[in-house]
Amino acid sequence: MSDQTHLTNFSGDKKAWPVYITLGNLPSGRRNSPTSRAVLLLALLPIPPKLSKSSKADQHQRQINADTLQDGFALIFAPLQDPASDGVPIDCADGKVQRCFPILAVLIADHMENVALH
Amino acid sequence: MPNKCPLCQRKYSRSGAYEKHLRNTHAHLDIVLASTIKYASSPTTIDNQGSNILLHERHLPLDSDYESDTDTTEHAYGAFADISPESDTEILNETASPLPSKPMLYKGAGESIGDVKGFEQEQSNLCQPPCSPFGSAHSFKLASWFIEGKVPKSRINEYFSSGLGNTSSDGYSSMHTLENLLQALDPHSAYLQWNEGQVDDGKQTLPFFYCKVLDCVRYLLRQIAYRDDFVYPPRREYDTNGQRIYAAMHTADWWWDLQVQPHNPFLSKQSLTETRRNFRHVRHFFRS
Repeated sequence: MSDQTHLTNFSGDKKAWPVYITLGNLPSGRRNSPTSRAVLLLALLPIPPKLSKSSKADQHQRQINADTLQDGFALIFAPLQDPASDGVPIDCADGKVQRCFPILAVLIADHMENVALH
Repeated sequence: MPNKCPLCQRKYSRSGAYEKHLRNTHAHLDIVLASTIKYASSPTTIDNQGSNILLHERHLPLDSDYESDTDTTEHAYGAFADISPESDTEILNETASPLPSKPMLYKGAGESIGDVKGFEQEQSNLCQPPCSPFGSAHSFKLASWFIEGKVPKSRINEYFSSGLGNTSSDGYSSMHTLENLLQALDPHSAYLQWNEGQVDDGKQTLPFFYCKVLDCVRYLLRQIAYRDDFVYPPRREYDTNGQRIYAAMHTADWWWDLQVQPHNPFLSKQSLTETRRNFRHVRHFFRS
């Protein structure tokens, strides 16, 4: 899950772009419960400066920013590439070691982030 | 009110016969019917190696005189309604019924490959006093007050340097020693280390911060609080009529299809390619 978050209004208009991660192995009732703390903060992405919609130069820069965002995601999720196909042993909460194949199943983002990721 | 087929202008007074006509005569159009799931494919066979599942469509009755046909659907249901409820879960095997009425698990999925080293010690540590590693309930409550009150580190250090704290009973005398105790509260906190990455937007190099995604997975899977909730194998759930139920993520088809593969009982490169195609928006994460 990722979304830009507005932090401050009058002290620099600070923003953060957190990316959260959780597991599909947890039932949704448990996973989505705020008190279960089953969602971890995975990354804080860089936020590009605001660009005007009319300028062609800014449109070019907007595409560069989208590529930059994709590079950031690629760097974050690159460690999943080999375990997703070959598997990796992971210690589990029941005291057993499971052979896991972690894959990125769902990415939840708003429309504009989806546009930037395509 | 009679139903009129928009494709061949036939009229039907019974919805069942109309659906049957659509399903058989116009099957090539892939019309999705509300009752299609009754006829949906179900796993019927599995090879001896337990690594290959073949999915077969049930043989459908021939489309003949429509209205005069008897409803074979009820007959087909009756054939599977007598499954003995010996257990809540059925392990898929060679004799699996086409329309089961109880959950199905893939044989061998979710089995462990070993034991976690030191797990017994970790369990025994849970029997320690609830305030551990803090020396007393007072020191634990004081630390909770610091953290929940979002007291700055400098003010915590001031608290102890001014002599307000009783260091002999608290077990910590500065923010540094308090942080060490807080880290000891979570034995798996080492997984959540932050790293700094950099991306170049053409004008400047932008820093950003991230945790290792695989370590986050390890951290979550290691949490004893979720021990009774974790689901490892894919699962197909059905109601009493044999209709498929889609509830949690592990009951969906994609998980089953991804885990059960012809050449690899867990996953193959081919399935990953399929996944990349289905989730086009994440294709960048897998590019090599």
